[in-house]
Amino acid sequence: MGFSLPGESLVRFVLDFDPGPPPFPRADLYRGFTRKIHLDILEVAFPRFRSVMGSAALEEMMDSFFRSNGPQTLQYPCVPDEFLAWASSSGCPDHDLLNYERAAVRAERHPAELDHLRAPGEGERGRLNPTIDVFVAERAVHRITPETPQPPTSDGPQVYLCWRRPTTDEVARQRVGPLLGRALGILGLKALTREAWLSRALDAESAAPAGAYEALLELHRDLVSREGILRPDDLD
Amino acid sequence: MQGARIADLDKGLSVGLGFRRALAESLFSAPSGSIDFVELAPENYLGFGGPRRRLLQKAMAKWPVIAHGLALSLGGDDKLDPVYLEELAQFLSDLGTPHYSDHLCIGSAHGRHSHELLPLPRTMSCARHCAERVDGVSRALGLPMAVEHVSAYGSWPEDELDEADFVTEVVERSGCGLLLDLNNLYVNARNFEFDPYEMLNRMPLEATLQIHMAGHERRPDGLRVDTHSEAILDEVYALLAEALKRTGPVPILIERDGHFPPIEELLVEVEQIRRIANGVFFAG
Repeated sequence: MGFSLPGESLVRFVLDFDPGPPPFPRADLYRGFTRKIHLDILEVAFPRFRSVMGSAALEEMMDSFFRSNGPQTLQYPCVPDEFLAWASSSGCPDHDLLNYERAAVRAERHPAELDHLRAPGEGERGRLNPTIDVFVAERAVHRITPETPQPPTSDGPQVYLCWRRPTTDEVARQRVGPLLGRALGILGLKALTREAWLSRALDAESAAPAGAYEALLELHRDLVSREGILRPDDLD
Repeated sequence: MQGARIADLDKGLSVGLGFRRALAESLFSAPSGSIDFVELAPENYLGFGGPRRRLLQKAMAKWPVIAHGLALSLGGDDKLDPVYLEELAQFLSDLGTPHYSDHLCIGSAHGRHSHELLPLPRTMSCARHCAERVDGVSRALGLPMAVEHVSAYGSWPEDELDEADFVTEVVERSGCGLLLDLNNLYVNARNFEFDPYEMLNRMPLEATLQIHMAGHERRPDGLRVDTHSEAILDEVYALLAEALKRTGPVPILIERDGHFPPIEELLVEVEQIRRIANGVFFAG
């Protein structure tokens, strides 16, 4: 990689893993500042990851991130999002934990205006809250702690939902199994009444287990009560 | 509405505080009229909804807001993202900021951002490069630009100009304004052992659109580091009194980014600045 302006060699010096000689005396101070502000923002963004994996592991990942030409966002608060995207695409085994932590921030910062929205009443159509963040993890990442860095595999895949509620800005979380997750996907595409959604969701499953209807009904009630489902008339 | 309130800043002395989330609650509850405006970095709000947008709206409803950027890398060569500039222009328009400022530094190269204000080699070619870039940004944003000279801890062997000559070259070539940071000037004077008054008097002060005041840390080895985490030094207040004689009444901002004291302590600094400015403009 060639640098055309003299100043650009300083950017390389502060970010490169193996920076070579400093372009001027005390340039190493800038390298230290740069590394510290990035490690600080990653530690604040991913406190559980840090407590489970340790600061040294996070710093090692930061170095790999830098080696992969990061960060490229000019908005400092978005560095953790770019770091997460890099971790996911580079096969980092714990990216699901990073994703779990970041989902709340994504929902909180989502640009959608919500204050004029409300949950559907009985018989009204509803659609997923536009800030809702849905992601699937192959393991129960919510169970990961420093004492249990590997959750039991018997838990199976998990679907995590995270959204911001209108007016209060409270971030709500919900964890569901794969069947309920697939069913909610229907409400992401189209506004439906509860009954229409239940019917479609069950029709889509070739072999819905016993109790699926009740579980779907309970989930719908819960999401409506916490404004994870909103009236489409206000959304459109 | 917002524009009219911003215009009031030009009519007399105005003193503001950097709007930081750690300070926000105490600032909102401070007595009305304690400060005249706030300043914030668009990079921390642009594109964000939820609590950040709500906080921004609350600040806009209470004070005029001036925007001060961190990320344009005015000394760099990376092409500025036209989509980002368009979004920034809209954001600044909504904010009603009278001008936009950023730093005479390099922050990014070949698409990578250091998120640090890295010093530039003070050469004529670099000054020309910065001037062209400032002019381009100003056109894209549809706003007057002001450039801030940064504090530094090392200097390039390629340097041809001193701080005042370099800043003057950029300001005169681009026709932009100056954001005079008196703490940066003082930090550099101590770190590089020059007379801050002599340097101040050679700065293009007539182009000043705004002044920054702040405190800094002194490390055990004597190096001054521009942390914005300490109280403003008397020496920096003294530079303000000297600078105001030539700049006239421009908005003066206190930057505080760490070791946040009770708001009352910052308001004492605001009052100190008002006393100094009143002494310059109304004495005798």
